[in-house]
Amino acid sequence: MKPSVTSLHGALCLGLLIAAAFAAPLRAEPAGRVVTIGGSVTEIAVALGAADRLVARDSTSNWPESVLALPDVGYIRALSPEGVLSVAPDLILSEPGAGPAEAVGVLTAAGVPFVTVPGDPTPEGVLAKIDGVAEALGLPEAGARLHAEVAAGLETARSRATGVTRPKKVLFVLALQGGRVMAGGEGSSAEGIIALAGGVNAATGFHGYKQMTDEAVIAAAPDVILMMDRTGGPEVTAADVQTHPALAATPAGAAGQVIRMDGMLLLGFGPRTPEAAAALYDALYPVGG
Amino acid sequence: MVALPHPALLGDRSARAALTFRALLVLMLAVSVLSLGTGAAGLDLGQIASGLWSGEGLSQRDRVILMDVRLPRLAMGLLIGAALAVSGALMQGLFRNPLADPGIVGVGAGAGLGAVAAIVLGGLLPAGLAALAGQHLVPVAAFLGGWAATLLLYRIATRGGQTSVATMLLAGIALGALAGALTGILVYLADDTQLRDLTFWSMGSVAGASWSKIAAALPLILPVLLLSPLLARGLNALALGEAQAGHLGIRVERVKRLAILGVAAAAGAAVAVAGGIGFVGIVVPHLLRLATGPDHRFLLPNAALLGATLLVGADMIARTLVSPAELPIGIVTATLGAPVFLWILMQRRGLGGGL
Amino acid sequence: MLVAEALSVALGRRTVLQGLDLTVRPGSLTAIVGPNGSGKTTLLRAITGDLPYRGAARLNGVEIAGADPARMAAVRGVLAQSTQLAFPFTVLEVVRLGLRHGGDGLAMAALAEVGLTSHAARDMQTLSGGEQARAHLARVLVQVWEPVAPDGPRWLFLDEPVAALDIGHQLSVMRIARRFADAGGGVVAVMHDLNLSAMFADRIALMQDGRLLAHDLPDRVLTDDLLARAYGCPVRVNCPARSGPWLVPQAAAG
Repeated sequence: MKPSVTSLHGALCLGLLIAAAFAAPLRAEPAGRVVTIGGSVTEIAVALGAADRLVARDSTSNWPESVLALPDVGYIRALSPEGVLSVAPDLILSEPGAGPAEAVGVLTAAGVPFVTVPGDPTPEGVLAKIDGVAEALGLPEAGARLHAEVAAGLETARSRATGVTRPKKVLFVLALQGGRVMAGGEGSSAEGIIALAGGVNAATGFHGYKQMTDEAVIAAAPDVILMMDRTGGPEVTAADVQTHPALAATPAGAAGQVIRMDGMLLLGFGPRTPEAAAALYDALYPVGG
Repeated sequence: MVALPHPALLGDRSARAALTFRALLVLMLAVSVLSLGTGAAGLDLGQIASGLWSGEGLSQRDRVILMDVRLPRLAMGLLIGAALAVSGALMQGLFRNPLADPGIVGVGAGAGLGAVAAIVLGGLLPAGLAALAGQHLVPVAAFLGGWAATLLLYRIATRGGQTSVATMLLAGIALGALAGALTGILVYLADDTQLRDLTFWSMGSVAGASWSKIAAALPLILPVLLLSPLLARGLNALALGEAQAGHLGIRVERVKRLAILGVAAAAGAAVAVAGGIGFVGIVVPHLLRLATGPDHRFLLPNAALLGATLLVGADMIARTLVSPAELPIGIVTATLGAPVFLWILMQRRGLGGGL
Repeated sequence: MLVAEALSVALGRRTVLQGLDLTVRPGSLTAIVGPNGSGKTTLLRAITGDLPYRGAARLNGVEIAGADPARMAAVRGVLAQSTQLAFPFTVLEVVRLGLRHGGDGLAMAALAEVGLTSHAARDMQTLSGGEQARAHLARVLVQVWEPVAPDGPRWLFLDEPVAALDIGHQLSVMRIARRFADAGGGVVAVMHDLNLSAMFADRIALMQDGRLLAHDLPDRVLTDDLLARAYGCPVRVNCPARSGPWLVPQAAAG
């Protein structure tokens, strides 16, 4: 059966449209409608001066306060493809781990460039993230400036950290749901920031954020317990720590050594990482104490 | 011959039921068209129509929204809604209990266990296998889990060719507890990311609708929808009890087997591709029984239509209420379904009479 | 013809029926009577195909065990002692469950037979126990409407069909059974009521402890000795008048 002229026409138009859409990122003019997914990516974009180009963000983006006014496209791992498309983005910038896979597929098929920047919870990772965002946004000079600034801050933190003679053992407690301790293990972002602040991760033997048995908690014997300040959520109070049998039995629990810091600041591994490392260092090793 | 008064006086509700069928068909089509024009992206029916009519076609973004987001979601919503509602009706007829739901044969518990296992243990698969399965790992595992559970229950409850539904019910409770325990262990082993993933799975979502998922679910669901009315006469007779159904000439064991098989396939596929969506299976058949009577010849087809319509409607709410984010659809069906279910229960108390 | 040869039924470890021999001809009404636990209902359940048995049992020449349910349903209707209806069907819908051919006309005719025409649209669960029993009888009647068919006689197996009914309806139901038998169909009814059995049955089968004590004309079975043996208590047939009024239902002709 011969294909009709109309359908050939239609296919040609469609082909041109697709080519044009994919050619978009190659144009010199940077994307004007950007969706940032992942709190640290949003922070970097704002730090690079691109706040006016942001049209939406995900639910984990809460810094600076101005981004809260942007539409929220949902949780990074449960994006709604049509929701993202509804803000007519030219570019989607994301931390690793965006999902579900079908949603990402649809966004790509719609011709919107979807750029995933590196996300290792390490000093090098932070800088690579900054570079990735700057490149995607077409802001090389601002990117270089921010890179240098953050690199300097990280270097300061690193030298202070190496200067610690007796590093304290820190246990990061993500949640205390139903009496079970969910802690940050090897390779987690908590471990990364603890190391940067001159401490050592008390939770070993597992990867990522997992539940630790009470015995493992006691065996870890942390000197300090580190937790997130949750705004607008059930707070784990110091009293909860004191009454938890395993935590109270640790040196940290016995001495009441509990540090709380803002979650995104602490674990975001964005441009405020040096600030977070410094704050944690000061809390771990107070002057004169 | 006795002169027949008007059918409504005779206690014949088939005319009303047939009318309901036609009305539901129209309603389903209307809701379907409406859902194509509803969504966060602001693409409405007018734009779609003018785009198609003018011959220019839609912009690429709009085309993707229509063909890759809304249309698959519509198709999947229709399939799943119909599958869950018909499965509920089949199970209620089989267990002679209007409170039965598709999960009673273990499908839900098994599928949940399969999905959680895939989410938590998926990383343990050899890289080649994991890459092959890709994003299909969880649905496939969920489907296999649902099937395994149903098969296990069926074997436990069947002796000498006779299936005891009472045994199935009790064994289902035990199996559900076991699956829950195993799931609990897996949850304990899960890391933070996996926990979030399995929470979202359990709340259900049509957001991951894709043509490949529909292609996988269709051959499992559509035959059940089309062939289940063949069981109608048998299920009607079963309302009198298994012995009496047998006296009426029904092959009772065969009806049971086919009903259970149908639910394992249809509800299993539905849960596998969309996660945990509740209440549709209980509430839809119930509402229809109240409206047009328990005759399965009409109940089954009407349930398919009403279930499909309700799910598409719920999906419309799920993806516009907190736009541009979206709610898991299981939350919408629970929020709407639970009060309706309670209302039904309170109605029944008024009627007196047993189950 | 209903033929049972050396029919034995075991429930668990107990042998409930012990090698029964029974022949029932179509065109007759046979009442199965006996004390509680004598095996009446077990016998009925065996011949309706609900229980496995040893020995032989044939209906219209077809062995009952393992027979195709649809084939059996074409030749015999079973009225159970009680039925729990799981869903709110109307009376007409319940009667329709028994339909194999014919439509609402037949259903309404059956309802007319049992005197429930005005109840056709009622929710079955709102009817009294007796009315429900009659509705189920109507359902059974539509299943085997013709007492005699080209391929053989049709049968009614009734388990205590009048237990829930008042006197007037007891008589009308027995009359329905009687008409069915007179037209050539076979009726086998498990009965508690000896007087009604005497009034309407052509043959009475008296059971005790899983055995058939007697199977004969009512006059020959309902004797003082046999009944005393079967029921284990002194019985006088044609009892003398008691101190108070003793109601005897009048068996009107036809």
